[in-house]
Amino acid sequence: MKSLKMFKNLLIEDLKSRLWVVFLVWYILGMLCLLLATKASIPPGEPRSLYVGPGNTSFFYASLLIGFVCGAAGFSYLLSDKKADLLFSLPFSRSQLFSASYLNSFFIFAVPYIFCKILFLRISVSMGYTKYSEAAAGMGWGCIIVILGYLFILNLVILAVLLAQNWGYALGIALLLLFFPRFVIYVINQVLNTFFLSYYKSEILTKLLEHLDPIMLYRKAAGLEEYADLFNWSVKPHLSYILVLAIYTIIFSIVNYLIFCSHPVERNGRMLTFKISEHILRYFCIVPAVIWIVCKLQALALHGSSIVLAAIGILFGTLVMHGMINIILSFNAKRIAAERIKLLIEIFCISVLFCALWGTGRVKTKMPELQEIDSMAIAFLPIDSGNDADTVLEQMQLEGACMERAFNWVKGNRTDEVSDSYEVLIKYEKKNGISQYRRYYIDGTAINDFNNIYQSEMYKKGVYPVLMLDSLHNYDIEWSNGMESYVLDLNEQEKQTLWNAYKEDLIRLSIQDIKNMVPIGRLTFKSTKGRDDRTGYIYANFTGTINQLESYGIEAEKSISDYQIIKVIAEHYKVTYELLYSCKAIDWQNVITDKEAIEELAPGIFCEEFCVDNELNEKNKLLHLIVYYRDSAGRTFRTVNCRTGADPGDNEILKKFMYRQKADN
Amino acid sequence: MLDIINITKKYENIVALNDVTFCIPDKNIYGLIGENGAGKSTLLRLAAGISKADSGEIKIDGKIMPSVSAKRNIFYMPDNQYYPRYSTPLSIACFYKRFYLDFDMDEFRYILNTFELDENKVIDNFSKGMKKQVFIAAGICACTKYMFCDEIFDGLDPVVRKLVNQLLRDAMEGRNMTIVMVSHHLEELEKISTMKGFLHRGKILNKKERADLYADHSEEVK
Repeated sequence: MKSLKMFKNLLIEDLKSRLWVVFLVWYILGMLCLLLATKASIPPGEPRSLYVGPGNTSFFYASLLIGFVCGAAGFSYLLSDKKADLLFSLPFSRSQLFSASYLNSFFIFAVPYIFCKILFLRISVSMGYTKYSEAAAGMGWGCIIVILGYLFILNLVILAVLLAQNWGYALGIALLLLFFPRFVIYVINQVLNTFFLSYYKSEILTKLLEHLDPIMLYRKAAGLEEYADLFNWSVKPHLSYILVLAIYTIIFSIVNYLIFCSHPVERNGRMLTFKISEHILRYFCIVPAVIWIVCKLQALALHGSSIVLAAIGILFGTLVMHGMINIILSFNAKRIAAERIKLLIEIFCISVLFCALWGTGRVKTKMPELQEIDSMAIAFLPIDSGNDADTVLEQMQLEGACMERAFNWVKGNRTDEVSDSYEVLIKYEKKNGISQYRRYYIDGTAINDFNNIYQSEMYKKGVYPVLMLDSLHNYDIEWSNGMESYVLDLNEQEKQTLWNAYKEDLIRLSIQDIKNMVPIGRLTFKSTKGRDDRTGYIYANFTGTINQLESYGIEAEKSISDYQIIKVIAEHYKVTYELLYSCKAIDWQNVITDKEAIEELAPGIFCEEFCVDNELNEKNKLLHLIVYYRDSAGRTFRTVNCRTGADPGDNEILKKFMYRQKADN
Repeated sequence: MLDIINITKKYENIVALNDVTFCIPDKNIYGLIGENGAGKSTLLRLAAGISKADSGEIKIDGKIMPSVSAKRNIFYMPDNQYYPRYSTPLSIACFYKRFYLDFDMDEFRYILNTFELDENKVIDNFSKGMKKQVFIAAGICACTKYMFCDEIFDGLDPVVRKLVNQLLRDAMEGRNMTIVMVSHHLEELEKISTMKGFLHRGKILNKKERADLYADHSEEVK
């Protein structure tokens, strides 16, 4: 009873010493509540109830900040001799002192955070955005995950404070603990990218990053990467991350407790508390930093990569980093060249590690055999009018004959010459369940053969997000030609007809069409439930789509030349290349108001927002046009940014611009 | 009874205490004397359960330190005690009362009166000696069986020293306290101690060693 009373008193005194943290936490969370609850405009598809769930960005960053502050404040007395003497002389064991500080750190965040969540739940329910039964589980997970994430960050910072002997080093170690896994994986990726042309990314390294990087793990567990709508949030895809987060939190709590119990109260004159942590820190800093230097030195290699430069990089990098770490660990510049035996060991270790990495990369980046592959995906980078490359690789699944065609096309046309070639990213789904990601350069002449692959439905489904839609339920369709845009007032049947017509046209689209035509319009399938909008371009040969749109009263074929253009401002830019940077500045400007000149110019210009796939359908990068046109009603005029093709063709005005440009050059 | 058995403590390559063994019976004022860096404060911190010895053990009434039950009977007063900013003597007494449940508040006020200190004044503005008086009062009133004081006379003027000596003697007799005092002020310790120990280069000297050391020093002075 006496012990319990004294422990309660210890909790009170510890809390009293951290009152400023308590006020800070309540202030931050209170301000967040106020801002989120009174947010004037709610973006479409963002119900208020999402603040109850785990994926709210504001609460995520608040928990990171508070974790950092509480971790530093909780055991700060260890960095002050006088305070440490007082606390360790009190009639408490080390376990009691640790528990008191840890428990207070937990409650300092958990109490106001749970209070905020309950407040938001009440607001959401009272405003009719959600019901208790629907949101209670989400709120529960919101509390569990964010508090776990907070405890994880708290533990890392506590560990840093326990390992360091002053605030500067504690901050350094905390940052190292937070960002070390990310830096190591970045360095490994750099090595593989630098030394192996065909390396794009590794699934294992991506998974490792997701599970080892504290902030990434916490983000994944909370579901911050996706749209954090409470209704769409489900625990299943996040469960593995939550479990890992919980395991790390428990492990680090135990490690911290054990270190605290053996923590010497007296300062030892070194920068770190334990000698062994100096050795660990030395290798943690030197190895990735030297390998990073090796990669950066490869920029000096004229063609590809050089083993000689790598060896020089290891020697030079180790020498520099060894000296720097010596200075950092002893805070004494004279020790730059000390501990030479250690230097030799470091050079040896780094060389072995680098060779192991290089050897692994060499084996792993070989092109697999066709028999080994289950399915594959190709992201042809010159086509940028669809999904981004990573989404393409995740969504496309070429199988059977289509996969065989794609594989043979890649195998037959890949080249080591980066110039005059197209870049493709490949994902092989191998029969043993492993995914391999590769980057290849394809000979520029092989583009026509690619059409066989491009025109298959499997390929198009992976590239164009509109084709991946399951149904148009909860979607509105918006049409735009760059000058005008309308949300179509269509019933379900009409939407479906338009969608079917568009799908057929899109699947028929060929590489030749992309090379010869610039889109004349765009359809956007706007989600009414979330932010899952999908866009697809309309080309001049999309007759089915155009006819369908015209039957709904949309002049789908209307281009910039069909509008009444009042004025065109042509701006030409000049790029100056300096040693380390290039500078783009306006070269000349021409205002065209002459009607005849405008009429001649108009067919050769394209709305800038539709100038896609520029590597296949080149545009003039330096000529920028601002077109003033009257809208359909003819009463107001608007402006639109435009570009022209790289080749002016028969357009005399454009030719003049070109000649002027050449004459200037 | 305080038993110090074969205590050794090293800092990096420096041996602060080398196999120190001695015993302090109850109800004594033990004066531990030694030059700067002799290991006096280290020994006191080990006895108070703050730091850990590399080898050997310290027993307080048979309980091995740093056990919580033994620490309940100890009040440790370092040379330069920590206190939160804007503390008053009263807030310091309240702090200790939370951890030393038998803390005698009336006695504390009485001693403060004796020292002519205001219990509600912020002690940041106190002189070093006045701060020391506050903590001496807190130490006596904590009603622990043992009180460990590091450089207790530093900053005290002769009048207050006399008063402190009297208070400590009363505490020893009235409250059956055992007080361990560490200092390099030989004369002050001579006046108050019932037992004395000499610590030299991490070792407790016996009578012969002490005599030799005195002889050496006397020659050096001459």
